[in-house]
Amino acid sequence: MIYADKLKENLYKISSPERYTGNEWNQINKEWFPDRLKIGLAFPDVYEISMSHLGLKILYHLLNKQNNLLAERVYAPWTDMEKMMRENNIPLFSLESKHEIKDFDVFGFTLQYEMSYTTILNMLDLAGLPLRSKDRGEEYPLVIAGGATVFNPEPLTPFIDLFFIGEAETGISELMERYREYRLHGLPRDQILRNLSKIPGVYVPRFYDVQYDEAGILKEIKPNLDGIKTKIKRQVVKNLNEAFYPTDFLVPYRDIVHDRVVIEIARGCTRSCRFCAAGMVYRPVRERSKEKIIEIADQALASTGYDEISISSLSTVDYTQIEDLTSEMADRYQADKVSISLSSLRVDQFSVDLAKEVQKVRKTGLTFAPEAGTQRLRDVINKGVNEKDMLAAARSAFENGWSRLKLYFMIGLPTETEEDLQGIVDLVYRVLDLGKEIRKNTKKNMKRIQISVGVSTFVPKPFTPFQWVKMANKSEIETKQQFLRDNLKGRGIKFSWNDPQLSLLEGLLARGDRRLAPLLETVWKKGSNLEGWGEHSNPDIWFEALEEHNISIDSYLRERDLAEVLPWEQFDVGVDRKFLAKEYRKSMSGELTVDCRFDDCTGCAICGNFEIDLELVGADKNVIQD
Amino acid sequence: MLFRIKFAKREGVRYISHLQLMNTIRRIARRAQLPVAFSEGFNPHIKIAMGPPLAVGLVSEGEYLDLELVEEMEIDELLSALNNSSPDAICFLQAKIIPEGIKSLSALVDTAVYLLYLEFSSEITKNKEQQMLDEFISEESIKIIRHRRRKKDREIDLKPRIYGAELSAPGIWRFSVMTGSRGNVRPEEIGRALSDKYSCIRELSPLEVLREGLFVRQDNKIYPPYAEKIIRG
Ligand code: SF4
Repeated sequence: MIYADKLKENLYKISSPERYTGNEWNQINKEWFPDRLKIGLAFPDVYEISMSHLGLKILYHLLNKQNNLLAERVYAPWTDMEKMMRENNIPLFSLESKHEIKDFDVFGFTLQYEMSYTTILNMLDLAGLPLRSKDRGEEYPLVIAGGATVFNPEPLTPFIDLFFIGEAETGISELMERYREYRLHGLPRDQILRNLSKIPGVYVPRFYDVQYDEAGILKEIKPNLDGIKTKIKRQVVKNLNEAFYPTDFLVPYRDIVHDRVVIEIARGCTRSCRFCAAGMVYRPVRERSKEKIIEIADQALASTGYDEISISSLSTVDYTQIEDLTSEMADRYQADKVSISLSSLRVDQFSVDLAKEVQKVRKTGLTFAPEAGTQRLRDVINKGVNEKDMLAAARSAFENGWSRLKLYFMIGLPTETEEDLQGIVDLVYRVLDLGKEIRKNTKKNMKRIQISVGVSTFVPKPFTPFQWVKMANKSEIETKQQFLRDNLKGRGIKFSWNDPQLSLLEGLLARGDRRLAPLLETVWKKGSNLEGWGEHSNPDIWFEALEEHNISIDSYLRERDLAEVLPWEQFDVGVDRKFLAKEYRKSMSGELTVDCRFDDCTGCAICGNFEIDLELVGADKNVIQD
Repeated sequence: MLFRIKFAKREGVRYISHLQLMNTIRRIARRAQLPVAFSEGFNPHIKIAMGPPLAVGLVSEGEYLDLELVEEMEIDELLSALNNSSPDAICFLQAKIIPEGIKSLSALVDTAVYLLYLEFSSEITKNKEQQMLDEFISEESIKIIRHRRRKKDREIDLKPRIYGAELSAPGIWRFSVMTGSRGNVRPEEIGRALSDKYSCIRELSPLEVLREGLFVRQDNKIYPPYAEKIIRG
């Protein structure tokens, strides 16, 4: 059913109604032909967050390009909107046609962060769908998911029919087309799922059984049917230049988090920071050519009318021709007063110079992430930054007129001691003092120096060298935070940290298994929803529910034996388990690993596993070692 | 070259704010590849000036904006370029070239005309309606409580701020009211005053209001802000 009229009658009563009206420039309004497969593309957060997600933008345009498919957006309503919807019997609907979710054939979620899992349950419920896959009959849409946290989807498995593991550009259209055909032929859902599970990258959890021993330790994950693959291989775009990239981005009326044209200039990162999941699971590095990037930029600016463009990747400055690219873009768009921003700067002078180059039009803030306070600990995590680079970067930033810097660190890293925390404090003060000195001696008019220090708690994530380590417990985290609070104060320093309980819950879900599903359901029933928003975050109900379900959070956050079967063992992300284990060992002795882009192959095995080469613009191909 | 452009803000963009509307129009101008003029300074913006803000949640058939171009352009060409790059719900209707240095829209515009689509709880004849309207408008004073954001509620008298009212059609009442820096009337407040006085008039929702236009008052007549009389002084 279409709910446009009912919405119209009620929208003016709620806050920010423009979140729910759609109709933005470049919106795609496809006809609801009977033969078309209708896909609701969901994101478990409100409009301004959801609209900023690049992966979702790519999917929206990619799927709609296919004549047989139709995709519309579905975002989570804010609490007042949800209340109004429930009171007026308005189910969850799509922004384009205002059809309810039950009218769609497929309801697909983007997984972005663990704490949004209960929002997914809430959206299923608001859509009028039974939460669990086994309770949803043929009449309900197929519920699928993919995205950043899909490499351990286990806590969500009972709720989702099918997961797609990896980069969607490779196979999502084909997957949808196959589903459409099976439906047209009237195949039953279970048979369809069986057929679809043959497609590379597709994981249908109901076809896998998980066994635990008496102590509750995971023993085995294996298919429970013949013909179901034992390993699900992450799907990877081989050539980014040939991969689909949209230019006719939606242009929202209201502010969203990233309100600009975003161009992904490269995918993957091989710096091998040992805490970083993205750096492992999005390998290898593939770069888009400079010409292609400029072509996309031209078209996207013309199509959207944006006056800002952001070039982005996991580590933007590592793009092979970054200097050429930024100076060409700066020249090209200066007359039109289009500003350029860079995401993810490295901690060095080079990055500051680049930022200076592109920010001739408008000056935005600078952020550096040294991650740890001492060289010893930075070596443990393989963050290739030293204090000299850090200070040179800061000096250059101050001398070029930036007066506010953001520094990011983590606490709770393996082997961390108080000395490392003191190292954070010392580094912050050194940067602050440097800034003050430069400000004092400059003739330019400079604002007061301010250093924002953001400290998050390290969560050991799947498919990183630290996947086996123990996460810090609550009192450890609190002690560390207290130390920093006591020592990072005074004029010019702004210290912020995360709620320790939230970090622990993130760790629980990131490292969790199927036994956490009932917990999610209980927590949702207790009211958990939109927990990414400070005012809705409610860790207490989680800990209550953990007790009710008799789940010990420590049993999930404990150190794991190298020989242990991990809940995500059924996935092959391409990076060798042996490589991760070796990295883990090396970390304990502070031994560094080089970046295979600039040096020899480090043996992560991705290139060989997936028969892809490193794709670096204008660089010689790297030689793969065994 | 300065243009004063009349446009409509319709259903699809009902809920966007004044600021969002400005941004949207800047993006429209960029998509239309107009030879726009930029403001000076660190944060250059396309030079656009608009009249008194339309409340979030209302639609209008008569909003205005001033846009500066650095090259000459035919009016028809300008309007069609804008409309081709604009969502359907924002429609550019007319434009006039205005002299540089003329008073801004926000300084000029002092009158807004609203249509209120009233609903009655019982059948009412046209004559009766007319009688009610006449009675309402000839009150000594029309007191209502104004709710203000982050400030205390305050009682105000609408009477001196209402310039005129007429029955446009059965159920449709047209009000011409004060707007701008000297004081304004919100259509919702007229609605409340009406329901207070006549129990048969249902509470007015923003869906039942249309801003018909913005005007400049001179010698007891009203003119659109780009009328010859206004732009030539
Ligand atoms: S540079 Fe390090 S932290 Fe950044 S994406 Fe690469 S591996 Fe991750």
